[in-house]
Amino acid sequence: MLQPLLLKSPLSSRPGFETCNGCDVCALACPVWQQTRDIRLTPKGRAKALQGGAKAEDLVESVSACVMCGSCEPACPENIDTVGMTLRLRAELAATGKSPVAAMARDLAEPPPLPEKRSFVHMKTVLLAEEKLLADIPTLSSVILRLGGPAHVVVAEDSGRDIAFALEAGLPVPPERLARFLDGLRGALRVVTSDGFLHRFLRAWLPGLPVRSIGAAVLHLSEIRRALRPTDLYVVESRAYHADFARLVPLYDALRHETGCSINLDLQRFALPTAAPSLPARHNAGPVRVHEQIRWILEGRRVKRVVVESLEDGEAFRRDRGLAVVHVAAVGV
Amino acid sequence: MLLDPRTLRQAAPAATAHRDGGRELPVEPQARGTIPPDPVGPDSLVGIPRVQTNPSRWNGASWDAFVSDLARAGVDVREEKGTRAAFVTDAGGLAFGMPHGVVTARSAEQVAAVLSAAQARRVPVTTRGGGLTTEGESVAFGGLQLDMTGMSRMVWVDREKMLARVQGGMFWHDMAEVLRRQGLDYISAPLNFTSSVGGTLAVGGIDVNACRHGCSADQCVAMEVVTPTGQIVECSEDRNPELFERVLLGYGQFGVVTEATMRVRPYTPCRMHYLFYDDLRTAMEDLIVVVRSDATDYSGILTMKDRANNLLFAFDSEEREKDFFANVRPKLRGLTEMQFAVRAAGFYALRPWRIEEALWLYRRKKLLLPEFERPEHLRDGKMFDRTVVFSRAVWRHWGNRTMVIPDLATSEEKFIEAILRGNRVMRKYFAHYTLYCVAIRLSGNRPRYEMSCIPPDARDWAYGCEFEPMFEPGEYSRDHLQSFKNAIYDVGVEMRTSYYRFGGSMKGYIRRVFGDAVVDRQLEFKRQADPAMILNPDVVF
Ligand SMILES: Cc1cc2nc3c(=O)[nH]c(=O)nc-3n(C[C@H](O)[C@H](O)[C@H](O)COP(=O)(O)OP(=O)(O)OC[C@H]3O[C@@H](n4cnc5c(N)ncnc54)[C@H](O)[C@@H]3O)c2cc1C
Ligand code: SF4
Ligand code: SF4
Repeated sequence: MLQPLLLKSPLSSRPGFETCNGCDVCALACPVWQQTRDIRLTPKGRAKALQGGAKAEDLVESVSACVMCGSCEPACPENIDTVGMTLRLRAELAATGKSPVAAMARDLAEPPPLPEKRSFVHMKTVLLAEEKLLADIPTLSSVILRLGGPAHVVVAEDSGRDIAFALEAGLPVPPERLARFLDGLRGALRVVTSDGFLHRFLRAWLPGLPVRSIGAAVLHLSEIRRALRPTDLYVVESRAYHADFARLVPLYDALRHETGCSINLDLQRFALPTAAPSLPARHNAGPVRVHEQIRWILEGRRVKRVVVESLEDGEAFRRDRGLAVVHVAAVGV
Repeated sequence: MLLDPRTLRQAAPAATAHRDGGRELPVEPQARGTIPPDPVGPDSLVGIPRVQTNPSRWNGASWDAFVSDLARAGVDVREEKGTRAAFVTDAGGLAFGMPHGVVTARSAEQVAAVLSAAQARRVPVTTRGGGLTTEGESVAFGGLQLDMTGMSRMVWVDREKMLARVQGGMFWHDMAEVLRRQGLDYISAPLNFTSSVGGTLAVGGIDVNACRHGCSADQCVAMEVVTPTGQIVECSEDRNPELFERVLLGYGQFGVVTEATMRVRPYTPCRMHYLFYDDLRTAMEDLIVVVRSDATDYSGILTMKDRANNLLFAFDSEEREKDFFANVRPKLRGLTEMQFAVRAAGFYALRPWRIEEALWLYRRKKLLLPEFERPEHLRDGKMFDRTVVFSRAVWRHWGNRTMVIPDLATSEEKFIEAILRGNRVMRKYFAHYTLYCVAIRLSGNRPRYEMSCIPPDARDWAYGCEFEPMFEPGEYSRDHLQSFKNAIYDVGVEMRTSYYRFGGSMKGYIRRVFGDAVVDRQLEFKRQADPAMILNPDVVF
């Protein structure tokens, strides 16, 4: 059975695997391709296998390898819903009980307890923060400040993380759980997230409500831009970026030219992910190694400081290379 | 429905027949490794049976023994449906085959094991890089598909010698990503992101800077090749030069490229310029002027039908740009965009019955222009990452599940007539289309040019033209598309040109295009190199 949530997404109205012309362009920015050079593990490999009559069960290795960075989607010249295709395959696999990724998400996909009282979000910025950001009070305070200050920002008690993990793993999300989460966002001025996985879904579920990553929400501030240096590596959070690629490319292009900093973008302007936030990487499973991603991101660049939009990315750089890391909201504070 | 290879072990299909003026003409079944007299009657170019796109499927004899041999050698042959299905067709999307199994190459030793077992068991092996052929040349009609994309890494870069050693299955774009981190770039490559280095060296590789640097194959200084009998051989102009010359532009007939040493250069953004022509002949004449002047670093013609013909040229340095504008530009008859728009408006105002064409040109321009002016790739009048801009545009605006791009490669003398004849074919078959013409600088008279994309009568430069139909407003039948391709290839046969990616037309035309002496010599080379004739069968031989 397919995930009702995936079917509701407007992504499902975009072309599917049937349209794949086999051009391989989706592979070029795919970290799985970058690390394995195995075309079977890319969206092209999956689409072509499905065209040839393969079933989700035949594609376990391929479906589980994806780290959901999302770069294949804006890359695809046929506009195929590549991420949706992989998520649907994960849902089909999870339903059979044979999905390694579903097994990784079971604990993380537990819904949070009901909040004691509902926050008042009307005409405010709602921040959906992941655990690391919630635990890092100085950075959280900077984010709130840069988003407009406590009077204008509500940190959601229900961040929907369990929903994000469930969707990433292909596990079903009970409709009442989704309804509770979305009710908490209705009436908001905008939603800002620290992890971009939910972006595509939020846009579909709450049409008209602006959904932004922290980077995209704060980079208009001149005090941040002024404080960025040519020796900085700015690490764009890949999931949010690729989900809103056409709108965000000019923003980061301007940032690069204005500040001289380098950005984790490739020649096609897709963001090279650390893959750290993904379910396979959290479990040190699958072919994509965070260490190898970081090596590739840094190759040929002279970097003194890493500026991140996601603390999970930041921790990966700190742990792997011992580099100085700062959150974008804390730059210039 | 896909069948299990084990159920497909029937004998090769019996002789087929084709019609000529109502008469059934028998076509003899061909023994593998022979080239029959040309089926093209000198007085009839219509209805020629093409060999490549519909070859008979290999019958599967000895497959199991072959797979066991490879298992013993530690080579994994993937036979499951999902994997084989990824290789049913190529970018052309018209020729469909199905390998019995797939090996994703990881090392030269593995490729050697595959080829020596294939030689012993007489199993056909079809090599594939990006699979961007359009006539089925990289499609396996049974037998083994050797997927080279598993060998896709940079081996080393030598900044002092400006050389890079890459594995044969590496996509040019992946190569560019690595080189650019070092401020370097490859010299010239197909503008499509995902053709592989090995697949391109086998075919040619034409970029808009081929007028200055020649084809990609001419950027290669050495190769590691696995011969059809399974020897791993390093070759270059000094070491094993015969093999080197045969493998370059050799359509994968004489070996599998597992590594190549390519010339590279410092990366520079380029300044693009465009001139517009409403007359195709004038545009082509001006291209020849530009090419002969050797004053630009890039040049080519891209058209919308034959009504809006764009001569593009670009420069890597400001000095060359200045020189060009001082000395060559005054000789060209192209218009600026504004002049062209005014002239086109006048033309269509006097011909209201051609309004549909005018609207199409306008819509197409609106669609394409932003693609070439994406701000993240343009700054201060310079284009950054031109290969990304062009390749992206190619896939988005010319790409399709069925890609029909026959081409011709001619000497300078034949260029204009051949393309004008090709253009008449386009007009007959399609409402909308594009022509893409470039010049290819030759580097002397190399043995590699014999029976290749470089026409035998070309001197200094060859000229290539792709004929690419647009499929809107409707769908075209496979038969229509095939007839169109045949008609373009027939122009080449009649004029004795070549084809810069000729593929499927090759086997059917080879004797008329190149003559018996050349073909027989090449066939003899092939028989010596590949006694069982197992490597990339039916493409050329
Ligand atoms: C959208 C599109 C745009 C294109 N644009 C251009 C262009 O701008 N310029 C241009 O020149 N061409 C262009 N082409 C054609 C295509 O890029 C070339 O044919 C290219 O050389 C194919 O490379 P490939 O890796 O895809 O080779 P494949 O299609 O995989 O193979 C090509 C041939 O080489 C053989 N081969 C493959 N790998 C090896 C190897 N490692 N060693 C030995 N033989 C091998 C195959 O058996 C086959 O016969 C275009 C094609 C498409 C579909
Ligand atoms: S989402 Fe990222 S990891 Fe997954 S297939 Fe697409 S590019 Fe590869
Ligand atoms: S980019 Fe799109 S069309 Fe091309 S291979 Fe990937 S999924 Fe298929």
